[in-house]
Amino acid sequence: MRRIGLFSLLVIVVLLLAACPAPPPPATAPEGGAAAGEAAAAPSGELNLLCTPQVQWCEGMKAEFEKRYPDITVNFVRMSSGESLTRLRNERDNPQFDIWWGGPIDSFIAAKQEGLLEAYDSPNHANLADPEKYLDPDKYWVGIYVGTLGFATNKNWLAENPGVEPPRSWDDLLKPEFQGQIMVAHPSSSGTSYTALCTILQIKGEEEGWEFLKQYAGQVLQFTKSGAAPAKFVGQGEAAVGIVFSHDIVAEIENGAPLELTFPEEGTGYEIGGMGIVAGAKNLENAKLWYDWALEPATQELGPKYQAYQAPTVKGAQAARPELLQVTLIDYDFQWCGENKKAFVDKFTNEIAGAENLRK
Amino acid sequence: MAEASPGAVVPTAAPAQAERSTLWRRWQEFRLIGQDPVLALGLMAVGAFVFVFVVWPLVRVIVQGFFDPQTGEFSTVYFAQYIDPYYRGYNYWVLRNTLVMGVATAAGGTLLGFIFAYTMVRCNVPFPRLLHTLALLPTISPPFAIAIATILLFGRAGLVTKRILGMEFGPGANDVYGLDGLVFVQIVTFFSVAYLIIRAMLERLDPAMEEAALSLGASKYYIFRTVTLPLLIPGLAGSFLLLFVESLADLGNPLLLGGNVSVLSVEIFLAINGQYDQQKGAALSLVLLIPTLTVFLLQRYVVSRRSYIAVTGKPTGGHLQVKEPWIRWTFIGITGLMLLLVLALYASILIGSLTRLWGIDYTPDLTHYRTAFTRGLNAILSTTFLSAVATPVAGLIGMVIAFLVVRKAFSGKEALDFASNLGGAVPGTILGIGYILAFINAPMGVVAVIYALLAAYLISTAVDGWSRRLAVLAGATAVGYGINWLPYYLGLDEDGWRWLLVVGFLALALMAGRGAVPEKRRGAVAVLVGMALMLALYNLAPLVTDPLARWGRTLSGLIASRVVTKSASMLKVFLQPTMAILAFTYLVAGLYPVAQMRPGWRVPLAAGILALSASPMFFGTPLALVGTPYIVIAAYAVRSLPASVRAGVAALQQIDPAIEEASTSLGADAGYTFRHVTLPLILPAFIAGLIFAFARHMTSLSAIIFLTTAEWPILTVWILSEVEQGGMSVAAAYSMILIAIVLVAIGLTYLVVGRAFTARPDVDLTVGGG
Repeated sequence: MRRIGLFSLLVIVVLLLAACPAPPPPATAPEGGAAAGEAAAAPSGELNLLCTPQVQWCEGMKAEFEKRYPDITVNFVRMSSGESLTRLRNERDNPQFDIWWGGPIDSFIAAKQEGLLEAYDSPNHANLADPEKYLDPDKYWVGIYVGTLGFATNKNWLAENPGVEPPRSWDDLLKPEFQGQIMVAHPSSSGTSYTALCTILQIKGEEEGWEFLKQYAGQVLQFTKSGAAPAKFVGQGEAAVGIVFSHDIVAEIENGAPLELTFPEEGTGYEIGGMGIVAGAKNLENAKLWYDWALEPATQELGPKYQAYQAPTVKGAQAARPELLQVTLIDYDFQWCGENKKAFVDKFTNEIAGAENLRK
Repeated sequence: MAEASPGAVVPTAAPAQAERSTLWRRWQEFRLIGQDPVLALGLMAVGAFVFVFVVWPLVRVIVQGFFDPQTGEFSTVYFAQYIDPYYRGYNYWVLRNTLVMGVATAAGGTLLGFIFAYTMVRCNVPFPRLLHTLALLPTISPPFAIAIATILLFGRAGLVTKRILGMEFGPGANDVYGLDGLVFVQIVTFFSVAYLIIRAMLERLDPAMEEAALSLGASKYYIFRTVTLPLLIPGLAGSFLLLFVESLADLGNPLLLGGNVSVLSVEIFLAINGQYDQQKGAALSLVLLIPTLTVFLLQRYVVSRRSYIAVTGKPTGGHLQVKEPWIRWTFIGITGLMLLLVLALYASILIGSLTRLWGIDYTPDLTHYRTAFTRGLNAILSTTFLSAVATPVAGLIGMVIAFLVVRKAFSGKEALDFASNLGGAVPGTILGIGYILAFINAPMGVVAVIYALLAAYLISTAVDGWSRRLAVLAGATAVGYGINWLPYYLGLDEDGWRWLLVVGFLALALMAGRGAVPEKRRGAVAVLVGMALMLALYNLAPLVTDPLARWGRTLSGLIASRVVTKSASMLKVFLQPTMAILAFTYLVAGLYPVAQMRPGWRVPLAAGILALSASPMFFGTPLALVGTPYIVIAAYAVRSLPASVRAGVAALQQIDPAIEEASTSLGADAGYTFRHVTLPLILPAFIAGLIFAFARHMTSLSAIIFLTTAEWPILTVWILSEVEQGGMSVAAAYSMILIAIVLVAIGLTYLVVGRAFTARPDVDLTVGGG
């Protein structure tokens, strides 16, 4: 009897415990309220920022925000928008970030659909230049910058290959001289690359677009993780042409990289960079402070200080490089691209990136 | 393990009992384990760790591969894709790339490792220590440092390819991106491991056999072919298999250099981090697990058992040296060239980190280091801190496992040894995914199992009779669980609840003061007061950390300010551990005071400790560790555990058990013997093991990439992102900083423990990593 004793004892206890509901975290509600009250008095504590634009800008914004609120420590991680979305999904029940700042709004639309964001009616929404375009009707996300897609071509490479012109249309990318010379991020991890993919699908229509993408993928040397990376690699001469947001190309040119910036003539896609508070944010009050602060004109003019030349979305802020927006733009359908993001990315990953022409 | 027939084990057993006799025997064994407190405690602590952080996450990954995470339905969709003609092509292409990469890297690395080892042991090479150190460089640098260096030197705009050779890379040109470049980089990265294994083999080779052959008139080549090589085959095979696994598990290099070629580890990463498809990631992990596990089992049960070379612990006599100058110089020449290449690669990282814009502007400047120290300071501090904290954790657990495996006999020993090795042997991506799956929510089932085990043991030391045990266990657990609801009704906050527990533990301390055996009273009370103190410190921690953080933010210098602010969160790691971890500690530590009680006092004290531990154990969401630094520490410790265990086993095998037996027969108990006899003897190996564990923590990427947070960013992950964001030069600067930190740690250890390294230079570096 005895020897079965402890076993059955164990089994019973385990079953009992597993069956028990977890007790509610004791009295967190009144405590949270008290903490919020304190925060209103003197904002302090931490803010965990999920940052998608270039790391230099993230770093700069962190420093600027801490200057404004000296008692708040901002921790940030830079992740591509696809990675960010995945993170938020993974951490749905136990969110580690408070606010997500930057990255094309297709991802924010997807995040809103999945209930990963929290609506916030900021008083600073009034600052927006075009609320219809830049604000989610349910106030789950807001646009904080605008940028257009462009091509970066290495000038030295052009000099070494006389007769080759930098690409001026999407079809130029399929020219034989660019075989294995194009760099672009992987659309599953990067919003930049997804914007390019969705632009092509909108210009060419779905059927022809996928056919084009198949050939385009065959021209690519390496898919990078982050959208701006091809500008770096092309600047260094590792590849000849990169498909990148034009503001990132401008920043690289400023760093001394020998790049030529061109735009596709038939029209290029553009991004609205989004921002949203993470559902269940543990530092909600601080996240709101950041949200309000990011929509101030003075904040939006900080970009160029950190080599971020995206155009602002609020009234009263001057664009540092207005010429980047004065190109042929397509009527980019953010809703369509956002809603189909998972389907398109899966199709690209499973069918295009592995297509026959890639296997040399 | 049920090798003996039932009748033979319990000859006197009645026929009815014989049916259950294997179980019966197992149970008797467990009872025996229970009577040996050192064994029981060690086994429970270590077993719980291995179960929670190795077995459970892996089980979660395997299960996830077969279930749709959205609907929860059973599905084999991603395995079916290996048959479906539409997906089959791509899937097999990836699988083929992966295997080709693995085999090529393993073959190349082993060959190179052999040449190195042969040169060092047999060719009387000049400056042996210097060459040895250089050969070990790749083991202390981040996993993709070589890839960065290769792009700097041999990329399309590389220093050698473009500047020196003036090569052009037109369409279809063969460049460093792709499978060939990847294999090159992996060979350079992993050959040190092969070198260490084969060198150890060569050194232990008894020269008597070769001398015998020589005196019988055999030629040098004949001896090499028929004597030396066959003796070395286990070493060569072992190194081949290990390199194969390391290559398959590698994530950093394929991400940077793969070009259009995709391998499984990258596919898993993209599935999880890009497509957010946990089932796909888990299913691909299973596919990757198959060759890895096959190789792991081959290595463990076939190759290592074929070893003809006994580890005697005694150094063998002198080695035969190669006399023929042309052989000797060929080997030395290849080794020298290879080392030059390694040196050039590292030099390019150093120079790359010091030039303005590699490939365009080679002016020296320090901006990249400035960037690294401002932007990446948090990552540098976090990684160093977490690696350092994980180091003694891994070392202690490894040493306890080694001690149990070498010196104790118990059933489940093989399983413990196997599981502790498994965590380091499986590709890190798989472990990382497992951690996300297992610890994003509270794993109540696992917590309950471990609680039940520990609690049952605690109760069994105090109460007799299983019905009474069950009653006490259930009662105390119910009370503890009830305590969790108290604040809910009393309107206490979390701190108030903890103060309540503090009062409870102090009351238990009072009880222990009255009921303990007189001479043990102080110890028993001290343990209980210590438990109360830990909870009190938890509540009081903000009194120190908040002002510290506040003060840090006001400091002017950027670095000073960050360091002070960060040290506040570091303090919190120690002072405010996860409640469930605290509760585990209490259940184990509670054994001591209970054992010191006079008979009548045991039951109430045990029940009290149980109730007060059950409360924090099930408070909130126990062990929902994702986002906390503890999960990173656990992942680090698990990755370096095999190396620590090997170091411990090797050290213990060198010590004759007779020394320990002598101590025991003179009246010392197991604890005293361990502390005063065993520990001093194995300390050098232990320390050396610690250094390698630290290096492994600092450089591991693939498991950690899924676990970093904003508050605790990890340097290797940061570097990978900086390659794309800040460019090669910034990444190179970070890599140099990382290497420097590891070198400083090694140097400090040298200073502190003197000749730890020379005591056993061949500490096993060869398991896990990446």
